[in-house]
Amino acid sequence: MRTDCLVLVVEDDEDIRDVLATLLHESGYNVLIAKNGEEALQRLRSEPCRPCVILLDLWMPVMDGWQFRREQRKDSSLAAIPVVALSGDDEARALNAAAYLGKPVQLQPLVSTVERFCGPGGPTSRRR
Amino acid sequence: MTKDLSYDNAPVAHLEVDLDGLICRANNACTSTFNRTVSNLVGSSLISLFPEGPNGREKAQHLLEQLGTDSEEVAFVRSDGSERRGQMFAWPVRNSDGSAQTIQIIILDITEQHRLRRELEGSEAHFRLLGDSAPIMLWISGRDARCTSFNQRWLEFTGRPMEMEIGDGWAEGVHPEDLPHCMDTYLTAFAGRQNFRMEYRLRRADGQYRWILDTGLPRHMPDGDFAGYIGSCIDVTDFKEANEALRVLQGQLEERVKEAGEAIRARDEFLSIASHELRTPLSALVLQLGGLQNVLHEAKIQSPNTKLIGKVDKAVKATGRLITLVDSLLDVSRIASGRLQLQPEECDLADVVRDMAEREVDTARRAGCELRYHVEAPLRGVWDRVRVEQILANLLSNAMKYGPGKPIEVTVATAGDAVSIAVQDHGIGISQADIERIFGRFERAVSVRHYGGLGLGLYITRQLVEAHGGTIWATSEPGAGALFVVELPRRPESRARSEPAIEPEPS
Repeated sequence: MRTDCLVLVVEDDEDIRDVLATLLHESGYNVLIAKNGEEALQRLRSEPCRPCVILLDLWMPVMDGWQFRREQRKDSSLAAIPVVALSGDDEARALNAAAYLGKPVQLQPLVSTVERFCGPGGPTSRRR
Repeated sequence: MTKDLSYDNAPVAHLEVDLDGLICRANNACTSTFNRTVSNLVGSSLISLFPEGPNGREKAQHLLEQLGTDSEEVAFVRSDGSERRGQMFAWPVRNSDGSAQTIQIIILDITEQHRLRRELEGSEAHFRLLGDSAPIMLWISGRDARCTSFNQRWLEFTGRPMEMEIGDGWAEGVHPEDLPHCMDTYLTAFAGRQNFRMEYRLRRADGQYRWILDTGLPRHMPDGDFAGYIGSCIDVTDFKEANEALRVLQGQLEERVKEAGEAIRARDEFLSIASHELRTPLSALVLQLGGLQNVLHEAKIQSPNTKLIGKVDKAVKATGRLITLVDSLLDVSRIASGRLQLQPEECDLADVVRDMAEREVDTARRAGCELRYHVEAPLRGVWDRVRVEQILANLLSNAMKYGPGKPIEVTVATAGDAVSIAVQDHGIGISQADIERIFGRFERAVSVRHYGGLGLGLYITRQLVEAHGGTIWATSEPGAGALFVVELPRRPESRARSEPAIEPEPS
């Protein structure tokens, strides 16, 4: 698995999570998923590979996007991973994210944003 | 007669008259009383001191004929012609045979007392007249706090004669529940010589108790001595009832306003939640369609399926419209809750317009509208680029919607310290009356049956323009197209809430 192509998707909505995972996978990225901020922290700490980008939803149960961001920035091993907020709302600005993808997220901006942080998707994991 | 100092200096005018009625002696006080010198007075006729008429000469004459019996109030004149009032005493000094030798006369000037008495009489009569014709009920009490008089209006109201009301009789008409408070208020004020104002129920002639507003004031004699109280009363029952009804109405109105406010808040909250909630499945849909398009375009190379590609493209387009609608709802809910915030950045308006023009080519072609641009370049300023694009897109979409098949002119130019964006269409136009309201929420100038949409486009546009500190207006004639003009200052004014740029996350 190419670690520079690992993307963490943190999203509570199953439909979105699935389609993001599928599309990113089809675009040549390995995808890690988490249903909320807490699960995301667990994944990050147990995963040997560091993702090149985290796609972060804001409104989630258990631990929301802002709480996750605070925890992430406290942890020196995670603080440097760029975060892309899955919201263009004003509330999202408090995250101080590297980029914002307003909902509804569209395919082209999604892929180009992930490319910005991870480079083009690797052909090895490409299914087609 | 011998010279008598005490006579000369007596403080009242003293005259001595001979049997012919001529003044033979006058004391010094005469000088001030008659404004004449003693020498001037001596030798003149006494009767000349009194004016013609029943109060003057006739009275004086009468007194002189009835010597020594009584004093009279008479009118007399001074040298300057002014008439005064005097109390006149006259008595004879007799010879040993009893015949009169001289007549002694004293005149006391009482002009001032006379005037005061007249005034007092006048004011009392005036007061009685006023009291009886006044539309209010009046009462008067004496130094013992007991009532001495009521005006006609009071007696008509209670339907009782004066003799039953005076003293404490009036209190029999006061409602038993109000009597203690009534008496207590009156007597407390009375003891302190204070004004008072109170309400109590008083039985009317028809037996009905009416609410009375009673205002009492201490009254004083001309010399300042306390003389009792005077009170005025009005029937405030109708007023109180109307007031109560008004209070109830006001309460109901406040309730309605509160309900309406809550309904509006509930609607705005619903709008906010709905638009957020709609976006989540919409995101999934858009991404799925995007994925599907990708798959089809890749597969096209091997086995082209143009029919399927066309269908998916249409689905993507329809989703695009859905996104626009949901975004409008979200913008409206942001505006309604005051959460609209700009992200200003330095940009060139000419660039923004060029980008827009490229994006709108397809839509304009479908609407049969030729887009003509007149853009002055460069036009640099600090604006929220996304929102300026939205303003322009809304105006263009409006122009295409109401003027399909006709050209649209977009002019962007410097306007003093600001820049102006003008969009001219050649569509159905807007009547003057409609121009006033098209920038309102959910407003449209035409029937929703003929033209769809949420009626939010121009409302959002105006809010975005105003958030930039700019203005928007329209001019039009029905059938002659419409011109929309937006003026934006080169920097958003302070009233537009803007957020400081956030430093990018180090990565």
